[in-house]
Amino acid sequence: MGLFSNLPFLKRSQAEAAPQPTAPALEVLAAPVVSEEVAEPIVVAASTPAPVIAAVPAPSAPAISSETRAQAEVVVRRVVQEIPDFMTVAIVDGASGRILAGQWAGHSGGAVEVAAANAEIVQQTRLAIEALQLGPEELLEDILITLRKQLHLMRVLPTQNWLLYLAVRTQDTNLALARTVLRDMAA
Amino acid sequence: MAYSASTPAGQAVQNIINDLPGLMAVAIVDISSGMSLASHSNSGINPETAAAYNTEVVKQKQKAMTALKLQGEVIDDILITLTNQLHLIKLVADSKKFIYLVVNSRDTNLAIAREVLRAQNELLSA
Repeated sequence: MGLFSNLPFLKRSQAEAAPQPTAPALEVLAAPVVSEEVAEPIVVAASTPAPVIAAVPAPSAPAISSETRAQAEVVVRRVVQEIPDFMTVAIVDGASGRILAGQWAGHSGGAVEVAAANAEIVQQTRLAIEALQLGPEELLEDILITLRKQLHLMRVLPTQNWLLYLAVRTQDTNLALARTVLRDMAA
Repeated sequence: MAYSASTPAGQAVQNIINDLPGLMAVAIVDISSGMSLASHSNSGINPETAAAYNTEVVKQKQKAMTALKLQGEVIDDILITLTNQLHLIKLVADSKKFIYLVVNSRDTNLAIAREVLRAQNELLSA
């Protein structure tokens, strides 16, 4: 983690979040997502019961501050702006696997479980890299999961140990674009 | 040489080495046990070490997909990009095995790596 500590990400997202009161930042969660699957309302992470996460013991996890949520929300909004055809954009706390902010186009069932599973995937990948003793110069850039018609891309935002998770349809968004956008968010 | 070319997994490893002589490591891994059926390394990387962790990655993603109730979707592959390396986990059609390949990203791009692994599908799902 120390290797990433000089990244300007945290400072920038704070600067962007600062002039805005909390309310408008959170409003985005409730706004309908532009999509052909708009029939269902977006489920906001905060309204989802946290104990569903099986991989992480919920009681020990500290409460997430509204400031943290607002910061995460800023990042989510930036990704959505760049990739309007997204399926899911979410920020997951790397340590607890909880969703800090997110938007879902269409059905959102299972979002909490998916978030926890993704945090676990990143954790396992880190363990694998460690076990392989690749040396300090090999750092995890991103993880891509290719399905038949979807791309799931995950990138660690190192300053906060956040996991930025993006799911898109391959017909809408290509890999190079998705990667570039996520890389920009981490830079 | 942690493989015997008389098994399908060993043959697949041999084919991959032939196509990508500069690869860093390769393994055919059984998902239910997390153990490798055949492996080879041209570097300090021991692919069997990573097999157990990668199996967990695959299982977690399958769990996530069940949670999402994604129907008619299967995992094609999982790519882990490091600073100078690509680690590609390519699931075999029967979803019981995967090929784990490590290459230097300067030598081999994703498209090449995918193509080489895809060619082993038939051999491994037999």
